Amino acid sequence: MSFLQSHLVNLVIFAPLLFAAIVAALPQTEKQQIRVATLFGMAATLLLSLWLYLGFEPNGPEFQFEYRARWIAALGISFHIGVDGLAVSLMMLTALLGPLVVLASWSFIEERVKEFHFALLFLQTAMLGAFASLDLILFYVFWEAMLIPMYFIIGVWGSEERVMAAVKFFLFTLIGSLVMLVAILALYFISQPAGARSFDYGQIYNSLLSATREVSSCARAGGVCSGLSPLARNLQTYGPWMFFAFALAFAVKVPMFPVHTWLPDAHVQAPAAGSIILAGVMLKMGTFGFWRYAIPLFPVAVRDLTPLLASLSIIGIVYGALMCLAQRDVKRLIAYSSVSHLGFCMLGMIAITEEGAAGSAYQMLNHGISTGALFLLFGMLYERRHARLIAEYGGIAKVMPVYSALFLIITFSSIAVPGTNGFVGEFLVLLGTFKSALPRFFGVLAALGVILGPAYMLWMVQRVFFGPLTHSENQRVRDLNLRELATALPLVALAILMGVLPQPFLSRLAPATKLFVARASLGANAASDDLRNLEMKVLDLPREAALSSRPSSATAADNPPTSHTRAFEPHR
Amino acid sequence: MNLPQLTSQDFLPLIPALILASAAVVLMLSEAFLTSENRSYQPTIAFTSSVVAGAFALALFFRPAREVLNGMGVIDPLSMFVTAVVCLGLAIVVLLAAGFLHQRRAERGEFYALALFAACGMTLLALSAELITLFVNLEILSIATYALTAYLRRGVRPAEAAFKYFLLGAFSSSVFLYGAALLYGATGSTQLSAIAGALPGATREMPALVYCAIALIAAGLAFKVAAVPFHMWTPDVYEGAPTPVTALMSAGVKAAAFAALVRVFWSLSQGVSGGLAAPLFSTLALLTMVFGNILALPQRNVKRMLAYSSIAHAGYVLLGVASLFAVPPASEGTGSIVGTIRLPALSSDALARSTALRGILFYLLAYTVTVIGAFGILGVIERREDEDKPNAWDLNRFSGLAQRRPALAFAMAAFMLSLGGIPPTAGFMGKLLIFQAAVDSGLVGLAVIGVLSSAVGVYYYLRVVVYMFMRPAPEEPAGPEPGWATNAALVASTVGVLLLGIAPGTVSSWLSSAQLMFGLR
Amino acid sequence: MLLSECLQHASLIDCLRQSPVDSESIAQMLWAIIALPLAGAFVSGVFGRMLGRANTNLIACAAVAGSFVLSLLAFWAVNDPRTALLSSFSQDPVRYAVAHDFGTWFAAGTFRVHFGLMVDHLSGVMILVVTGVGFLIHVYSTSYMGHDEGYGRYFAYLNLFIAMMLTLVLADSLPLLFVGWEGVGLCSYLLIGFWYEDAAKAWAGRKAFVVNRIGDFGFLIGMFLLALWVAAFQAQTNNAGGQGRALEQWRIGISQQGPLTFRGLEEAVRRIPPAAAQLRDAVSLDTSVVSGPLKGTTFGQVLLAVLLLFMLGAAGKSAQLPLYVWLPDAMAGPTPVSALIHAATMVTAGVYLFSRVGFLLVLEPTAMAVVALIGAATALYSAVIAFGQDDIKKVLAYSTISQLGFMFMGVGLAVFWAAILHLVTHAFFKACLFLGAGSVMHGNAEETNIKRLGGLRRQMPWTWATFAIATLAITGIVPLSGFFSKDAILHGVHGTDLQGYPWVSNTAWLIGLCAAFCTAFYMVRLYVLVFEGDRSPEARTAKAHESDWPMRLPMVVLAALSVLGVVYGIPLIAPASGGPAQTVMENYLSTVSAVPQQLARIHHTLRQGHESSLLVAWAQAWAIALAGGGLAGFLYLRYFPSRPKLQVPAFARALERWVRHGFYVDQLYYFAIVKPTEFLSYVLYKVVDSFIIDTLIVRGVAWITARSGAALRYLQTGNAQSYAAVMALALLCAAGYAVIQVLK
Repeated sequence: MSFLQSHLVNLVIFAPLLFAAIVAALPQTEKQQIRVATLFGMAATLLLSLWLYLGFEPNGPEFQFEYRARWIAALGISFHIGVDGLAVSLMMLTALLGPLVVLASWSFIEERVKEFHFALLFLQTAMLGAFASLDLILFYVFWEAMLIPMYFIIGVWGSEERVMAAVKFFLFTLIGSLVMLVAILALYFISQPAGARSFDYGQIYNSLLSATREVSSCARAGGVCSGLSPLARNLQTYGPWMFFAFALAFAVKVPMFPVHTWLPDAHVQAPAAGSIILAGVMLKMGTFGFWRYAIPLFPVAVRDLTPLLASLSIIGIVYGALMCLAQRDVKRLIAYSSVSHLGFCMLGMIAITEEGAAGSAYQMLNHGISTGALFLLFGMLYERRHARLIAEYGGIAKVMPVYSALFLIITFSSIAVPGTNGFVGEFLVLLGTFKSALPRFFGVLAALGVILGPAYMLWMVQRVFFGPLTHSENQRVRDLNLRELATALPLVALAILMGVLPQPFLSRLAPATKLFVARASLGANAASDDLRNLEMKVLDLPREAALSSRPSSATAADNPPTSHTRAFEPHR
Repeated sequence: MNLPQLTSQDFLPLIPALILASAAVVLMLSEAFLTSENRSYQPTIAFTSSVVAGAFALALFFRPAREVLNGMGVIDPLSMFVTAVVCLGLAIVVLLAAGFLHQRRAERGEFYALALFAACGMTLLALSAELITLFVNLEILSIATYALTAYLRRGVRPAEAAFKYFLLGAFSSSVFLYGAALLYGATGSTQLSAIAGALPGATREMPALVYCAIALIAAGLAFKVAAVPFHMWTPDVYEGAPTPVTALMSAGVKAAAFAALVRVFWSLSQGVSGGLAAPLFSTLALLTMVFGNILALPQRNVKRMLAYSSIAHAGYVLLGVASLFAVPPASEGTGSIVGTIRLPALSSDALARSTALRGILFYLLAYTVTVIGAFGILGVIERREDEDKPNAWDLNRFSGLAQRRPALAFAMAAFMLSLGGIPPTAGFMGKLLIFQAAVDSGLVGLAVIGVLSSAVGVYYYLRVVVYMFMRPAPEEPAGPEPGWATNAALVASTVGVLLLGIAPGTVSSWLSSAQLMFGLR
Repeated sequence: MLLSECLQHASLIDCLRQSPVDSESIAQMLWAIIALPLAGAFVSGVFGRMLGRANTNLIACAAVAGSFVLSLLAFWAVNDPRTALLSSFSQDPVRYAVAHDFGTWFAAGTFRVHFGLMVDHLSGVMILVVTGVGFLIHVYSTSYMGHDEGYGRYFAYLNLFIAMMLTLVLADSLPLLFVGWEGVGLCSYLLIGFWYEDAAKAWAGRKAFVVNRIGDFGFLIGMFLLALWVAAFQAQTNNAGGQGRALEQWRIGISQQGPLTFRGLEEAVRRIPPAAAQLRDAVSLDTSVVSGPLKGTTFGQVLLAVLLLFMLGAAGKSAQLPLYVWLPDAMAGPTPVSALIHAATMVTAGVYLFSRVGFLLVLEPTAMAVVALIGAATALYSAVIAFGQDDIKKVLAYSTISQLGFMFMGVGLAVFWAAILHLVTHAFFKACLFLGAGSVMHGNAEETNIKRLGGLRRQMPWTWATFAIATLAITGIVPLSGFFSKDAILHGVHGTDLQGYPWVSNTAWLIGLCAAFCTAFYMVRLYVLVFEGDRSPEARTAKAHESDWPMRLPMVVLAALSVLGVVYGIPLIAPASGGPAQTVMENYLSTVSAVPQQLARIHHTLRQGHESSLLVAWAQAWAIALAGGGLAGFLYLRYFPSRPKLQVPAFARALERWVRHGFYVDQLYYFAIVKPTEFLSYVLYKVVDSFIIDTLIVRGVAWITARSGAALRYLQTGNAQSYAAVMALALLCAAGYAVIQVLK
């Protein structure tokens, strides 16, 4: 395997960090240099991840471009990264938004430019890392590290209420993820026997697999059954708790209904760049977390909680849309529309049908593009007028025709007009919901979003762009310049391309989707099929490193996992 | 009478202490006889001696654990690691103090000498395995720190602080001594190993006596580690003491006291069923974590805030201690006390115990590095003229630090995040290990309470960051530029914090090595 | 091959039917029919300003003309008897259809959609209407929008609309049809709000879109249920009645083309035996689904639900009750747009949809009854409302709704050919009327109130002539197309009985007759008020001016067509199967409507209804039209003019007010649906989101924590004694605990 094969993901993840170092070295006053350097860094990342995306073989093994090295052997933590279909797509999205974000804040960010761009690059690394990591602690580290730069971006460069919003964002997310940390530790101890423990995701999953099947068959038998293996018994008792902990962390990030109130504040206060990343990538962290960790690890708990999760998603869809109708502030409105859209993502996932899951995954990408673009475009308007209230606009289409055209196209993609990316995602999600075991009215209620979407989006468009030019300040607003056009066009083009030719993107997601559904449905139907198909085939720790420069007589706990089956045997 | 047969082996563990002590004596004498006003050699001596001592301690780290000096002390990784941590802390504190004292024209010999004596006491406390020795060392370090607290004689605050510290310290020492006496009465020995042997019988005959003794000893040590409800002196003393001294107290004294705590209760729990130690420390940990964090919440005075946060962190270490003793099956029904969910721990006892001990030690190291750095920056920020003013360490002093001194702000941010336990910093790894231990020994409920309380903590740590990065700088001129020594100290601790956060592999693998404590398994 | 060669061994008709281009290459070119206007839209939208007005006009018209030519070729190829299409659903080839699969659009799990385009006799007629009328209206627009700044935008939208409409009719599967379905809605949104600076117009656009979305909501769910239905059918039916190989073939087709292609559905329902015949393990309509999400319902019930949901969608798109409210407001758009979108093409999508899935419709008498009755009700209702309208475009709008009602009536009772015929003729004369109205507005300084016009006959001869012809056509005066098409519907409706609902056809028929009467009345009223009499004193301009030729030409052509359309309505052709002579259109569409008729026969859903000879029916219709028209003519030419100060009784005025406001349905919806929703969202936002969740819970927890910290500070008194006291207390507790341990 060539050096690139094994290190490409590393390069993608750490290229931004490298450029962050360069930026840090540049003098504070050289604003333009800093911007250019950051742009280069983001562009480099984009190219690398494009390479990764194209290099990903849809019909290949589940995880590709894997790389694994020793990190904290004493705790069974290794630096293990690799990508599956969803991860690589989301990394692509992240890398794509990177340069656009830099361009979007080119003239908007004027003070403390250096710190800002440093934060951007650091954030990029953290996000890419979180998508790629295959070790729970590594994931957690990236996951938390993500908060710091975003906290600064909101808190330093945001608008009036920025500090409140930043702290709210930080604490909200932190509480969730801290509980998840405990769950990770519990999982680490429960899933594997003393002596062969590691935080490696693949190993933990594989060691739980057979127990999961026992528990699920037991659950279908009525819940009380004898002869469970100790592991299975623990899983049966504590699985729901652990799932709850994971789900809480991810639900806050998504955000799902009751824990969503940090989002509007964060979005409203954040600068355009912050909003774009927040909506474009960070929210996907939540759905990605459900997809990668919470649901496959605890399918039985998921099965028991499906009605709850589904209803929360539905509430998210309808409630979020209703919230939008009550907003007077454009950014707040877009923020709540995110709640609605991500409701679709969650619903598609919970439906546990291939159509739904594929739709959900596709909707993640769509939302990243269309809502990212909405924030990007509105950021441009905000930069001109420094007003967020809908009432302060009106008739903008007259003075900014090009801008309005782009905004309109993105609006259509966000209300899922056929021919734009949004339609494919929503269609598949709804179809999947109808196909699923969920009661039919769930699908009907979810479909209400189809009506409410245009109701609020077009209402906003109406008030902002159409009608007479009432405010004198809006008379002399200039249309987009070349840079802004170059920033917005890629997203608009992508929104249409992904609507007309979705298959290339879907085909990359397909294998991941199939596996996700198979693993998730382990909780629901009798998993008669061979578990080996569900096992995660992941790299082992590099052999030669196995006996490393550590003092003699290591306790058993520190022996690195040698094979994904060894940890698997004791429960057979 | 027959003299005990001592070999050179017996003196090995004493070497660091001896180095520190002799350096202290030299400084004292020099102070007495030298007449020149130039005191710059003193920090040099103190620094070198502490470094050398630390190096020796590390060298002795991998020695197999054994009793020395006829069971008066032990040499084991625990003692040596704590010694090393203390020496590291001392070295950084000395660097900080040099600049601090120079600024205040207060470079008198006693300071370094006292600091060295205190450190000497700490190292010995870490290795003493006999109640009298333990008490004596406790007193050595206490008296030295009382004096250091009052070192800056101007103003009322230091004197008051020192007096309080002395009063309450005396109280707690007497409590400890009383407990020791009772224990002696019960078992007829002051050697921990002997006590462990004799306890089961004693417990059967005179349980009340034994339990009271244990309670008293626990109280005495809990005072030193500032565990709730024995914490109340902490904020006043920490605030009153000169900032470098506060740093030394919050780092070194805690480390040493914890070492003693673990050692004593290890042997006691050998005798009495662990069912006593586990609930005791679980309760202490719970109280300390929760109250420490909640009390720190309203503080605008950063020094007091750090004082409370040090209480909270003592709580996390106590969580480690609790899980050290809560290891099943010795600890059925621990859950009932703090209402924890109890996982049936799947690890073997020994494994779980060494996990717990590893967590404790790593946490002590991480906390030392972090908190000394934080206090160091506090020392740079504060100005001598308004030491007595109430707002000497007010949050506003940090406003706009990011624009004025980016490096300083960055370092402080790193320390705050580390105290809050956010990756990639030492604090996160420390918490990870501690919570790992807690979960492993089944204290999941405590662990959850711990993480939630640490979320509360993050709030007030972030507040400092908010002031540094998100508030405009005030008009008043910034404090004087720190000297090179201070800078070196700060750089060292910053690097330490990040290194322990990103690549803790080496240290953690040391700590996972064979037998951490004499008598463990 | 050359015509002369052909003539040596075949009749002229047969030779003309042989298309010059072979069907295969046509099939591969089908995409171009859509692509041309799409490209036109892109060019005139993006480079419009660069190219200038003339070039933009040229490009836009050329694009549509191009796809008109292609449509002609396709149409020709379809009629070629040699054309035979090999469908992947059955072994026997499909005749008179050209189709091509341009690859997968998207696929996930077992679901997939292909870019499959298909032209058969039904869609053939449609594409000709769309491109033909579309082209004329493009030409008209070049002059009508001659002074508007946004010509680039306008033609972009218009071209885009043509493309979307063509997608709708060419699609060979429901999801692809839905693309066009929503696409035309999108274009109508854009075009209604074309003059966005007038807020009211823009709001009208949004209203149209949202109301359409309510329909599409139904359509979507219908599609999903249908997909499930197909899946269940696939799972449950097996080798029923020894048609194993056919089923296999069908399964293969489903797996290749996805569940929702029209061919696939058609083949599926053809496998359904009548409920009576108890074939072993065959799936009939009252078999219940044994597994999957549809478990517990019968196939018939699901099908009924699907069709009713489709009706909801059709009601939205084709402005039927109860979702018609957007169309009158849609008149805010430029008049050519009203002619093309809101009269000729888009609004007929619902009729097209049901003719497409006729083979499903005929299986469910209930659904048919609903469709027919909704159509009838709409026809009468909106015709009545049209009485009270004084805005020339509003009158035409309501008349459109009413005419669409007629079409649905026909579709509902499975007289597909008549509905389509009326669709075509209506496209001609209604477009002509709208263009005439546009010309009138153009010539009278945008005056739309018919009370302020009048006497235009002499001033605008061309407009007058064409408008008059179109009016006659729509009122149904004998020699004109409207008469035949409308009567074909009425006669057909009267002639077929729904099984289980014998009363429906008669009811519909009677309502239809009344609607026809009203149509005649309001159309004549409109015509008289605008063109006859003398110019109203309140007119904006002293003298109206006739429009220029780009506007006249289309009107003339359309007028001519609405005369010539008559050909299709006259029974000329004796069917090969024998029986009474069929009208041209009936005979022509028989290739499409054969399957529904066959199914209806098998399942006995339709019965021979009231027997009446065609001539009688014609007489009735003519009499009614004459009566209505005559009454209106008398009232507005003689009666009212001669009595300037006529005392109108109060109830009449009240009635008139009600009618003019369309029975206040808009207001009803506003207060019954819109307001409550807004209120609900506002309350939810203020109470649940801001107060309960954010303030009470989130900030509450933070506040409590902070307060407790502040409260605990007071323990920190700062005097040593109290500290010592606390420690002692704690010690006591510890000792106490120890003692308890001992006593235990």
